[in-house]
Amino acid sequence: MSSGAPTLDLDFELRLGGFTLGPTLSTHSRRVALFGPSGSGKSLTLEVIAGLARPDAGRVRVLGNVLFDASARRDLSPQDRRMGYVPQQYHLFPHMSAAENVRYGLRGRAGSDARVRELLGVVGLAGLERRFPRQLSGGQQQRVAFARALAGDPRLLLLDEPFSALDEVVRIQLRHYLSEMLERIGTPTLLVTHDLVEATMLADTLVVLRRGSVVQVGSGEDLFLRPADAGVADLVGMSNRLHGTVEDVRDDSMWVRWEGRLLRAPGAGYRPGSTVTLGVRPENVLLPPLGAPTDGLVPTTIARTVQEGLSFRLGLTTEAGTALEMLLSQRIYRRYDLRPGQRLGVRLEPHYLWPLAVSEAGRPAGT
Amino acid sequence: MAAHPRPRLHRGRGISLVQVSATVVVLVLLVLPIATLLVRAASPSLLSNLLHPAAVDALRLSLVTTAISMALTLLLGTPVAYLLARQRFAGMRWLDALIDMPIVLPPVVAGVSLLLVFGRRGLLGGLLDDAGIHLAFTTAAVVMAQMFVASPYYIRTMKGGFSAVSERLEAVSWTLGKSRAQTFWRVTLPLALPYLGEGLVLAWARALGEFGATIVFEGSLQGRTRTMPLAIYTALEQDLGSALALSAVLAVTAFALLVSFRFVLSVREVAP
Repeated sequence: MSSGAPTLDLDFELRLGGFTLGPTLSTHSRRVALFGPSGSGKSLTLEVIAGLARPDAGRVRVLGNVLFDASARRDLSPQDRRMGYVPQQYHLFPHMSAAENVRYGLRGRAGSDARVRELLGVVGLAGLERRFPRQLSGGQQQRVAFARALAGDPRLLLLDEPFSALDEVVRIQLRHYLSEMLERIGTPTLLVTHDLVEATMLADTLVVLRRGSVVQVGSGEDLFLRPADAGVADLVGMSNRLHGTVEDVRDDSMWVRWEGRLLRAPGAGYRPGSTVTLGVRPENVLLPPLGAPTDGLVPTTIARTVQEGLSFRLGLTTEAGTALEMLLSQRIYRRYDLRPGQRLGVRLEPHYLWPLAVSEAGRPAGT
Repeated sequence: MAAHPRPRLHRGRGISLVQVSATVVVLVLLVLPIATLLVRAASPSLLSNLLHPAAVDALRLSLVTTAISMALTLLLGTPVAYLLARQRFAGMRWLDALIDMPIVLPPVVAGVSLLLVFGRRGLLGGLLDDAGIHLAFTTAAVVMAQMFVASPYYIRTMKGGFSAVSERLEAVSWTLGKSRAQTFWRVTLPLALPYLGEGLVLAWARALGEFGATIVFEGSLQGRTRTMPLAIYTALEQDLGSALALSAVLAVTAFALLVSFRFVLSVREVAP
């Protein structure tokens, strides 16, 4: 039924005061997450697709259906778009029971009790038909909102920060539940979130939105390990920066001189002599096995350690004074018996280093 | 998984002397006159006073005219309230303020204004006269005066009611394929219904007591324009007993309205 048309094909512009939302995106993925900092235009993009906000120019296509096209003067009403919109606070109709909320979403097949029961069954709420929204927990309200959105047999589910209204504990349970449910019903999904864990759990394709523009499209691993630029690296927690000079480039690799040593990193197309910034995740600043030889390691001093749940974030300082962050599990941290002031040699692996474009200069096009 | 009930906030112990004495003064000022009125009215001649044709006429006229003016207020005020609650347009603040004017305007001034426009020699009076419509000193004019002074209370309250219904709730309804009209009838209006009741009660109470605008705009003709307040005023000059009886009826009606109003409010607090 998708007949080769992209799930999402966006190329529009919406100006709002000093802010311009102008995402360009075409993807065949059926599980897409819009990820970005608050104020980047994620929710507004969802509203544009749902027909609740009107772009000034461009077009919006979903599975081959033109929902909006400024040049063709086409602008389908929200009623005619068949989008399963689930807003952040769910917005159930408070004066209707769970079943009535779901029935409200049925198109044309009014009074189909069987269908309402089936939908509430799909979301695991059989037996709660007569409850009013205020008598349901946050998670249950969310499921009613899904069932209501599904009742209209939508082309695409639009989920705006589905877990932001829930407690941490409930959130973790519901992520798994939702992931499994979406798989089961098979409706394509566009999810908006500022939570990367959520995005990677519920989507195959992550779209990074920043100040109204798409800056990267890729899998979760693409984003975590190969961010498009320094800004995305910050968003995904790739916090370490190694500023060096390109010495040599061969095939898809380059050798970068950094603090007196040569580091190999991916990066075709860089010119020898140009400066480059390599990023590396704190998880990928590695400890050598206990008792292993120390040659080739980067000597550092532990400046501080901060506990984050069952992980430890170490602040390291190299001999040249560069600050590095390292993330260790509690188990490793205790086994190595690490403490501030101690000297520590760490390993930087070529495939965990990633060149970050700070400016476009010296960076190949299309990388 | 619903939240557990929360205790009332602890406010400290006891009631202060200031609170007690202020309450006593206010009670004397507000309650004593009404209580006295009710006691004095409860004379053996109460029933015969109420059954007097002039009294029956006044009561009937008041009920009929306020019923009509409330129906018209509902019909015309609701769209205006929705417009004020939802649309953003140039001059909205002005429209908002204009609609509130009758609330702050002394009723006599309202009567004079109405006379200037709809009176026989008024701005539109000539036109209406040519069309064979004579408004001043008719029952229709009573309804107009009541709407003039009372409908702003309804519009104001209902505007608050519509504003309290989240616009996003309506937007969700649209994405579910429901038209704007369907959304209004099935989502917006049901959720604003408690406010509708509240607004109507307020407006009705105001219309029922309307005196100043009515006596200026349409005079005091028994059976045509002499509503309860006017009948009481007329009776005061001739027959105190009759005036007391009518006053008591009006006081009891107003009290009943107030209680039902409180009931509506408490329902709203319990409602989702």
